[in-house]
Amino acid sequence: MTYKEHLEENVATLSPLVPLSQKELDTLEEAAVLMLANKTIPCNLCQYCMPCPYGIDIPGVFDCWNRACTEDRLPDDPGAKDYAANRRKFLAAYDAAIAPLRQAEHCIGCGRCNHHCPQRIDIPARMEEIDNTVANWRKEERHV
Amino acid sequence: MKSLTMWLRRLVALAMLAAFITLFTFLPWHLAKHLAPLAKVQFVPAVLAMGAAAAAILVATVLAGRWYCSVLCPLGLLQDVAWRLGGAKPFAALRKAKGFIKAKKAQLAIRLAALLVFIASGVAGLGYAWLEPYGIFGRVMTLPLFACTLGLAIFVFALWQGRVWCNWICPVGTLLGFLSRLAPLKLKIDSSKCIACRKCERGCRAAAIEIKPHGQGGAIDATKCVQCLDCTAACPKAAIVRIGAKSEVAAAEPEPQGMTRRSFLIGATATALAANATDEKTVDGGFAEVSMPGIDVRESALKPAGAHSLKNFASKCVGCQLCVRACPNHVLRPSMRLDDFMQPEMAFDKGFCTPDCTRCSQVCPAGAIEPLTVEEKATTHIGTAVWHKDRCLAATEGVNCRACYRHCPVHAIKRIDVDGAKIPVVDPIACVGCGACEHVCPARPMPAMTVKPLERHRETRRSGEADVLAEARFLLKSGKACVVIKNGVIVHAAEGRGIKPLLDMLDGSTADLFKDAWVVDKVIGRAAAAVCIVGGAKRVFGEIVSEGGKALLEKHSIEVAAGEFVPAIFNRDRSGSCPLDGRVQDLDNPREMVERLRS
Repeated sequence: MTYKEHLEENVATLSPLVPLSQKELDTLEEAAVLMLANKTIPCNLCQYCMPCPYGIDIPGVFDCWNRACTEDRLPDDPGAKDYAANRRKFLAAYDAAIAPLRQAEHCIGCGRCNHHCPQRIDIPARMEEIDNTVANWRKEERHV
Repeated sequence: MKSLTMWLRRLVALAMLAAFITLFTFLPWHLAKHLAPLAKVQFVPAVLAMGAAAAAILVATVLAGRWYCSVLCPLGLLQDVAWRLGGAKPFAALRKAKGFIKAKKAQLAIRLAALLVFIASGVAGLGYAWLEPYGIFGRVMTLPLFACTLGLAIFVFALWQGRVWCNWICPVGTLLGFLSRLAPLKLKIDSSKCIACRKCERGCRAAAIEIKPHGQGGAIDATKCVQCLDCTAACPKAAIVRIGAKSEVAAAEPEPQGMTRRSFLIGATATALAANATDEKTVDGGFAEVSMPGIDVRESALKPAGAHSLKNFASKCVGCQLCVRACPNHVLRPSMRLDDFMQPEMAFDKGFCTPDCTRCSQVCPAGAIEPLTVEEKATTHIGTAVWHKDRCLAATEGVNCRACYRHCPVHAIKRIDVDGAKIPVVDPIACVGCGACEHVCPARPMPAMTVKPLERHRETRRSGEADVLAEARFLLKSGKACVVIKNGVIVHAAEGRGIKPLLDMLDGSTADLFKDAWVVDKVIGRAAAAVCIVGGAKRVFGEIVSEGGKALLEKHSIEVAAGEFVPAIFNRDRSGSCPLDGRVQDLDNPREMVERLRS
């Protein structure tokens, strides 16, 4: 909030101070359920975990994953029509965005990043999951 | 008069060359793999692999001459492109340059010497790579070093004087050439029609034609003629025929190619070697420096599964680089050692040999890497991982590093506690030498895990069904939680408690472990049954199997046997039923059950 206008806008969000209706609460509940079911990792790229002593691009990897999730192109359902296309695109984007030595595969699980994360993400665990998933996708690509 | 056969030959040759260039340079693998079988019609690889193409080529040659050299051999076809180019205006003047010495005897001596060196090198175990034309083509296409030196030399000489390589050095040319002398259908000049205009002689790219003065016809040296058929088209009197030629004149010395061995070799080594610069990825701003791991000098080379032994491999590989091109993990690369120069070897700085991939074995045309299935690869041990204590971060700095044992696809690495530090221990029997540990080890400059090659690749011992089950049950008694059997061989033995080892095996690089496997476990309740079903197991044996587990497995057509069938599984202190089974008791869909077990 830099300008007074910003402050006024933010206050206006909760004005007038009237309790939410049941319909509004239901809508919020629906949105919350959808957000929780989301496979995104709650990383906001704050960089507190960086630099990883072993060179992993932690925010980069999470961002690549999250973008695929939020843009609804995560290849998570092998039965889906565009599964193969999404898989290929994900791997291409992943390899383009992050140098091979900085990808999730090379996370050694030392856990030094964990104390720093303000979102309390279990970074090595998420890295391992992403690595296993990506390894599986690469394997499927090899057999196209 | 242009002949139909000549045009047909040109069409096929063009298609072949285009296909080979595409195969080696352009296509992504899922398209390129359809072109890979072309490598198997190459003469030397076919002979080494004892493929059908070898016999077919020999028969065709003995009947009609060196067809191979203008239709199938990519190095020959490349030279033909140069020859065409050399006929064009700016180069044509060069071609007329005279001042050769008659070198027929020298040419014969050199050809035979080259053939001898070729055979001797193969017999001595150094491989056939150096002088093999298809192998040279492959190297020229994939390696800048070769393109700029040998490739350029062969191309320039072809531009200038035609098939210089083919008739002065190529051992395949020499061999097929001598067989061609016997060919009843080789090209001959009909002296009754020949008017000695010498159009054929001048246009011959192989300097194989010698025309006698008017009326006496001429000779086509079958050891040199590559059957390009240009002469049949050039001749205004249709005097070049295969059958019915009148008065064969004995072959006099044909005009030499204008090449001496000395000038050829000087040309071939004329180009300076380009040094390869390696790029190091460094990123600024918030990134720790990373560097590629060094590659340890191995005592002997590491060769992929399918090679069976280093000796077998070396005796067959022609160094064509097709497997290097095909490897999706960037593991195979040409060796710089003298004893297996340009033959592929494995390095793990860019990837490791994943268990699901057998591409190199599928494309190798010479049988150096014989085709094998994924199951066969799973039980082939090409090397053993060796731990270097002085390099290991866990041992020297106490880092909580989990890299090697987490990535091992056969779970051959365990972590043990020694004076507070957790260090890895490799099970040399289980280790297949895939290099996953070497690839992910963060130690620099050299990784702390390196794969030591096995001179002869080891197969996991196979035994009868009853034996292998007994072995598996013995392993269970000695502390393992679960054993996986495939093709009658134990491929994996996991440790741990509860459902965790089974669930772990569904993930990542061991995801295929259960597929069509025989799973042997201590306790199989509905929970474990669900995991086996989702993993794709074919058969399950449990020391104890619950009725619920049995029913679930049978419902999914999985054979189940037990040491003892029980009504239900108890929890650890026998006070109630198994909590894992409890968690999934209301579910029937194995996938849902596994989801719930995972959460």
